Amino acid sequence: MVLHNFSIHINSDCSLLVQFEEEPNLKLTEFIHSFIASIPQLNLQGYTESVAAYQSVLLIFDPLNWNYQASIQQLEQWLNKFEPSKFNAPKTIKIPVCYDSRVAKDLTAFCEVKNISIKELIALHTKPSYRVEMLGFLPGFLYLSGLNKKISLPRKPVPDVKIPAGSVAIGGNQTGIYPIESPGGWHIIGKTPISLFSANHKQPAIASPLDFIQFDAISYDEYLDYVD
Amino acid sequence: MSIKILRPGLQTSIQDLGRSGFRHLGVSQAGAIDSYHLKLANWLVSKPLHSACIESYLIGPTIEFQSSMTIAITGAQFEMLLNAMPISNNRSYKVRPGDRLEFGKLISGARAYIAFSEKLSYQAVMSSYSSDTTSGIAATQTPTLKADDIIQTLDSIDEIPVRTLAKELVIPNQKNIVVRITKGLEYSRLTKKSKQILFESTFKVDANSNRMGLRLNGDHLELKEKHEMVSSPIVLGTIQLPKSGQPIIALNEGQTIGGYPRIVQVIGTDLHLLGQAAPNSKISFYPVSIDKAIFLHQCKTKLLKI
Repeated sequence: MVLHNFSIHINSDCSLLVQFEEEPNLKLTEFIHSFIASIPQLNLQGYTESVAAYQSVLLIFDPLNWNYQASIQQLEQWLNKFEPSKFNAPKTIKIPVCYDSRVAKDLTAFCEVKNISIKELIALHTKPSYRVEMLGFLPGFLYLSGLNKKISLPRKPVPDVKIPAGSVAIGGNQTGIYPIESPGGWHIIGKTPISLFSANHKQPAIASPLDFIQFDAISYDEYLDYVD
Repeated sequence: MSIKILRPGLQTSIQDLGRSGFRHLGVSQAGAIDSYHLKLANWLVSKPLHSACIESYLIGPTIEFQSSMTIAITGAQFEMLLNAMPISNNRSYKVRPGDRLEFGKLISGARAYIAFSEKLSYQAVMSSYSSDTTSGIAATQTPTLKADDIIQTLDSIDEIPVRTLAKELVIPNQKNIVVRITKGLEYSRLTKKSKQILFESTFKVDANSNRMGLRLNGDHLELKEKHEMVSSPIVLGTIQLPKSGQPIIALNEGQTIGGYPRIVQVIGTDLHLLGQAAPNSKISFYPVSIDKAIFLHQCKTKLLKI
């Protein structure tokens, strides 16, 4: 049994935060999502929803129907003996990406700074299967792990005001896709023609935590056909 | 059967109490920033308190009613005309097809709520009619209403009484807003001096504030030592401290996950006050315990069971 040291904090008058001590890692991510899936079994009084992050889980409660001491005690007991269940084989989701400066305004500059060719960048960016750690920040935004360090680059000092939906970007050690138009400080290296979030769908986001994402390079012509 | 927007005003949108249960997808709750006044407006038109209203910010709209209904306005105080006759907040009025409601000068507060007795005829999106002006999630075609937009409503045949709000429920809009706070998860990382500043000085609301967050300007706040945060959850009312040293209060369209230290947390009972914080108004903080915060929540809810 793997032990993950944790502490429980009162985050606000309607929420608790379970904080894990270790650095973010795959085992911890699995533990966190397995724990979240198990929360309904606990019948925590007033519990409404939870949010996963790299090292913590937020639990939100109805303040009018909440006894935080009881919730903390229940959660402590549960987490001390909790064993994550085996996950079903995770899905791998392929996302077509056009790496072309006509749709990715920072591509040329990025390659110059990193001193690599566009071809090399594509090879390095499309090789890994990225793990979905969690969703957040924007609707349907996937926090992905697994970026090759050779193509990491600190965020821009001054964020762009408008990054178009579908932009594939690198910021620090992370890579991701902007699901909706948004301001942002990451370097835009590509664009996907597919939609990542539809509020009206039963499953609004394209992927769930622990799924894998693979980027498939497509040409500019293929991108245009996709858009049509 | 419908309400026509003649002039949209600023950030005019449909809001209810927002959506819950979707934060794990990155979807924040949206909804009325001043939920207290949304509830009061709905009470005045005899609707369930969580119903959708029109929310407007700093500049009110001009609206034409295209059917008979009862309306009420709460929250920010504006000079207002109904068919060229002055009307006031906190009571309901009957309107007929062709009647025109015109907002003029803002007198106090920041956000007005316009309740109408007819039901909206839209599909809720993610269990709410709220418009998220940041992400675009909305029941209406666009999250903010534009000139000539028509809000479709359903006929109601019920006779709606005209109501006036009890005096003890009226909260006057203040230029100096005091909100109560509890300690945030990274509170202990603040320097002693910063903690003092936080509780003893006032902060000015920046003009760049919006439904995502209230940006504050004041004496520089800092941490004892540099602290690189791993992206972590934030909730409505979390006050984060970015590198600029000027705090930001997360509002209804705030991110679900953020990367700045969470220094303090506005208590649930006082969140609605932030909805009336216009640019340049002043905010100060008063610390309370978690137990007190939860107790206050229960008191306020009892008060609203009108």
